[in-house]
Amino acid sequence: MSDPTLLVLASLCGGEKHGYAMMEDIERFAGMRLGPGTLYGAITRLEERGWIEPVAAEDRRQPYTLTTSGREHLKTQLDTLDRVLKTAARRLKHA
Amino acid sequence: MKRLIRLAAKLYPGPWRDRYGEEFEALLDDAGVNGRIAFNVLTGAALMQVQRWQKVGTGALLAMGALFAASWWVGQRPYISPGTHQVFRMDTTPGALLEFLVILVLAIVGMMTLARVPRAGRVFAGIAAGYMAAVVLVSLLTPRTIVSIGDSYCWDLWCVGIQNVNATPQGQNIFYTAEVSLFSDATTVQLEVTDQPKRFFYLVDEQGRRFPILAYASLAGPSVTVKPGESVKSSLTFLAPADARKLYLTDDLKWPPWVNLYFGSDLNPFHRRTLLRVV
Repeated sequence: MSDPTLLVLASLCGGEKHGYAMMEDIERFAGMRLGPGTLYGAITRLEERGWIEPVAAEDRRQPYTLTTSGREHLKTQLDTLDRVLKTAARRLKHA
Repeated sequence: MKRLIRLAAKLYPGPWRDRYGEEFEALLDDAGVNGRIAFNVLTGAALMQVQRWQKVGTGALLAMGALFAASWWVGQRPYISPGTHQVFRMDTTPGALLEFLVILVLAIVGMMTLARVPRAGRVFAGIAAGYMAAVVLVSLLTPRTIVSIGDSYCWDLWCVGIQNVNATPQGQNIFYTAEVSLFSDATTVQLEVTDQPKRFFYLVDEQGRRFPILAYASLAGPSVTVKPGESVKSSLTFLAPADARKLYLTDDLKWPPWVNLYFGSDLNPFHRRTLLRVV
């Protein structure tokens, strides 16, 4: 699972975060550190699609939160991933 | 390295920097400095530029496609004059006035912003490009006018009307003799008519084939002065193959290049030239 947009959605699922907080969080739960360019490429795409939105910022760091449609999209993606993982695990067992 | 990262961040598209620039800078401050980050920011900027130009390119292609489709549609629907002895004109007067106004505005803006040359240049280029685009757009979306026999058409001061046409078959060709009236659209200026019509008029058929005038004869003599309100009866003779079903009279008069820039000018390369129906 290395799609940066999915990683950002998964990170924001735990609450609103700004860019650096997302980088740290993603490194913790996924074991990979997104570069600033990759992270903001994902943030740009997600905001264009209406899946995340900015919230009030106290300083230059801009926090983002998941929108309702973003939450639904994440759920759909995770359901698909879940089916893929279960199928792969079952087939691996019988291989 | 820090300067390199800041430089790479400036390579993002302008609208993107307006929206995300400040928070991106904050992230760069927090993320630290190393070669991997510099490379990541650089590739991010390159990707963002590609995506931006993809959108602009797609939009431009769609707009061009729509414009050419509309232009083709208009091109299939020429305006055919009613044939009731009306006079039609290449109406360049409003175009000429507008062009004069644009030049005036450019001159004033240029003088006022002479101290800020780069900005003045952008304003100049913007107005000129907008004007050119509007002239081309009007030309592409204006149907062709076909002037019926009996009506007349004026290019600037010169007006021509075909009164009637006689056809005499000769083998696989047909001799046509068109009776035309030449007159002036001027209110005070007199025109001198010699053999110019033979030099600048020609025929064109529906396939785009051109046929020169074989003979021009003025009933008033080889050289005649046409006063405002007067007209000169003349005849034009030409030969065309029998398979030329539609024939039109038009001209290739050489005009000053700025006439191309008038709105509604027949001479604009994007404009469908007015034709006088002969057959």
